[in-house]
Amino acid sequence: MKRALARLILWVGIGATVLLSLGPFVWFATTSLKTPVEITSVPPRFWSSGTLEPYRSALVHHGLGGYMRNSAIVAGGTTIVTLAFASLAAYALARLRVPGHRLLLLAVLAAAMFPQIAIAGPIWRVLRALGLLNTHAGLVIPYVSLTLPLAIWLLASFFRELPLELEEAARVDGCTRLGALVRVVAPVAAPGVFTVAILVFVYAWNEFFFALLVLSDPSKHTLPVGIALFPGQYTMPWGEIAAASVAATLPLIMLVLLFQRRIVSGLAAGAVKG
Amino acid sequence: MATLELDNVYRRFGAVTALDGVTLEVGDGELCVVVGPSGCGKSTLLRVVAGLEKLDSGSVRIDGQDVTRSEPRERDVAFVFQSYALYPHLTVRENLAFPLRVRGVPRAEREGRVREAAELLAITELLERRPGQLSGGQRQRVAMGRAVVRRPRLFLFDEPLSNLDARLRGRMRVELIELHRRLRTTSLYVTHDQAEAMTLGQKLVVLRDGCIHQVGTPRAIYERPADPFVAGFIGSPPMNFLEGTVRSGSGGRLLDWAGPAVPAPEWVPEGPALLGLRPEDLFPGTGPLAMRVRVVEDLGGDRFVYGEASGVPLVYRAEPAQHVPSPEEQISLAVRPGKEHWFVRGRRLKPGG
Repeated sequence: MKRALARLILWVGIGATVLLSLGPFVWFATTSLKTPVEITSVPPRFWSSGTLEPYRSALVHHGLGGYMRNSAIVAGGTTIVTLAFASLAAYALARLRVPGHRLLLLAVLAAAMFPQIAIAGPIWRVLRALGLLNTHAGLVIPYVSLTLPLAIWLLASFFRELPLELEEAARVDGCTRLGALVRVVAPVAAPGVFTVAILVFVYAWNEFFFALLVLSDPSKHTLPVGIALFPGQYTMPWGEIAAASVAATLPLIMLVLLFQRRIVSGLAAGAVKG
Repeated sequence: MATLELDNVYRRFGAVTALDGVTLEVGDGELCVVVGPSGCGKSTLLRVVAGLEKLDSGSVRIDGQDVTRSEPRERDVAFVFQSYALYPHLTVRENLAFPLRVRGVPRAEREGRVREAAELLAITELLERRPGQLSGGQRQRVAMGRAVVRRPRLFLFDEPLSNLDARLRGRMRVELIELHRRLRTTSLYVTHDQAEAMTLGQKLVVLRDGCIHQVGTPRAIYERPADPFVAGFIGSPPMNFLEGTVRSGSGGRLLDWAGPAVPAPEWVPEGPALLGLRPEDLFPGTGPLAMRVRVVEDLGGDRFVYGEASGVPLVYRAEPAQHVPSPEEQISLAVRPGKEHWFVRGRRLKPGG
């Protein structure tokens, strides 16, 4: 009896979570397939006629393709740069006897605590001084600095869990320290590296505030800013907004599905006796 | 093929001295086994030779060449880890090929050598698997294969068999000896298991607290241990010890200990002394030791009788044909003449001196 109750509560909880997180997305997905008349009908209708017109319109009239490309450049660039820096830093902090590495890790964490709005002004001035306002590089730089702390922390904990003998074996087998990192540590830590990569990518893909701050040229806009600027002075193109939002979500879903296997596969099994 | 020389090597970790002035020479093609209790510095010794651990002072030479400051990859040695340390993201074939690929050995030669090593270790049918799909014994073989494929100047083994079950360990021990006989690569092998050390080593090094206590063949060390520690550490069950004082009596020298005095040879000086007796050198008969039996350990082939005499624990090996006493029985033990080990001030006494 008690068990059945626990089970009931569990399923109600799961159901509520799924409804809350997926519900809006499903609503938007159906909205993206509605004609303007269907969207504004009273009472609201869940099912749509399945028109692809909002997608066509978002692409043709609102430049969705360009935003997609810009977002891909910025998010991809951020992910690559962050991973490169973070894996080297995390390796050093996890493995080498860096003096005061505890303090360094805390400092890294502290750096992640500043609210964005507090650093927005200084970053804008720095970027202007560097002539990087309104460039994608100018957006990648703050994204890297914002995602680095989390990436370093996560990677350091992944690296620390890898058996030390693996690297030592690689070094005896003829690798330099960097070679051991690239050939053995990184591949074995792949689940961790992919997890961090996805987190960083998703952050950069979704980020709105800095994207609005740094990029003023509409041709440079990323998806969140671009979609936010869909509404005209007298129009509210709900269909196009929904279509663009769904289109913006699909790459993320694909990315997670693609790498999920690598994340879950538990590559570290069988390295050492365990 | 190479020689290995360690000269006065020191290594400290904070307050702990892991290596306290170790000087050791391993000849070309020799299989040298370093044995000692855990924490004696034997793993540190191996890691210093591999270059994975820095040393505070002293030097390491391989084939006469000073490698004290060299990186591990420059030393041309192969290391077999206790945990095997196979690369989990690579197949067995790629694991074996890894050291060759890193060193830029051409593909054709690489494949040939991998095949050769795989055949030597009988792991050919495992080549396409990943380490996670292998049993402990198979991983052990792959780890050895990865060392063999390199044809390094030195093999370094860090307790490679300690993660295997007893039966497999015995078999791998024999295979290791055969492997060494075929390849004749200079090897340094570290273990805490004195039985393993006895069967493997041509040269045995007994290490404790970072100090070498004795170097020699297993037989020589067993028969003539240099000090009480070596005497007690090598051999199973361990040697019996009677601690007391030697004095001159009316009929010759006597050792006074907790029990009735036992005779001592003339060459043992008067004063504090330690008498060591191996279990196989004691037998029931008219003798000075009155033992109360506590436990009889029957190992099938060997039977060991444990007990105590005047509060001192004693063990002896019962011969197959002998009567085995039952617990609480009181028996008298005699000592095989000439088999006593005398120690004075922590050193072995030689007859006549």
